[in-house]
Amino acid sequence: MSPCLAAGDEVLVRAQDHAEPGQIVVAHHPYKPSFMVKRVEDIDERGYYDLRGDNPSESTDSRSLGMIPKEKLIGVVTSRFKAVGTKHIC
Amino acid sequence: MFEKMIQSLGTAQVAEAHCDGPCGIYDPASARIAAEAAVSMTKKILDLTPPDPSDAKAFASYNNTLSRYVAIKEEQAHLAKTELLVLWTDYFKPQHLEDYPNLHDTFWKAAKLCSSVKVEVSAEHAAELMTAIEEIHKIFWATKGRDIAWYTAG
Repeated sequence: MSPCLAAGDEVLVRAQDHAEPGQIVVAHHPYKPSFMVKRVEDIDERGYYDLRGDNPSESTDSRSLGMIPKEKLIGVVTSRFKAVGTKHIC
Repeated sequence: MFEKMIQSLGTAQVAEAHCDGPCGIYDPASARIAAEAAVSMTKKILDLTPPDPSDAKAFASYNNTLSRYVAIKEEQAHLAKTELLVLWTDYFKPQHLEDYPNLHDTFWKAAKLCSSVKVEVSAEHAAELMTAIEEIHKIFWATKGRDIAWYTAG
């Protein structure tokens, strides 16, 4: 999620099962028991989310994971706490 | 104070931004090393001189050596292909394809050459494989914005 988020940043998440394009969300990974943080690119007519990383050349996101159902959403990122020594542009 | 307040809510979970393997370490060098081994075995097989078949001991030794060379060539050529496929499918992203439109063709041909080197004893295809991996090395490091010189161990 560079340059908006850097490794080690902490975020606050408001728990909800919907989000708007442009918002950063935390969601369950569709294939692994882990969480991922991505930005909502789009939402299709079925309510599935196209989640993308801000750094397209490095991110593994809906381009390879596919559309993410809303049941996987944990919530919307509302605040960011920068990790020490990191740079952010956004 | 705010941090303590948050900590009092419990331990926060980790959310990954990169969802591949956790290490994220890729380098075409692993494919290059395996390919070099397969290329070396190809040369060694071609350089072998068959002994007089009536010399049982020499014949056994020749067969043993040839078998080992063939086995290692098979194994390393397959490993080179696996390393290339991982790099191709896991590291490279659609963004890279925009910058390097021949990316898929380059990898496809390199993977095909691994198969050729595995199946055949062809010095020509072995040399072509090294050239293909050198090309991938250049593209890979260009995507990282780093100037890493190509080199071989052999």
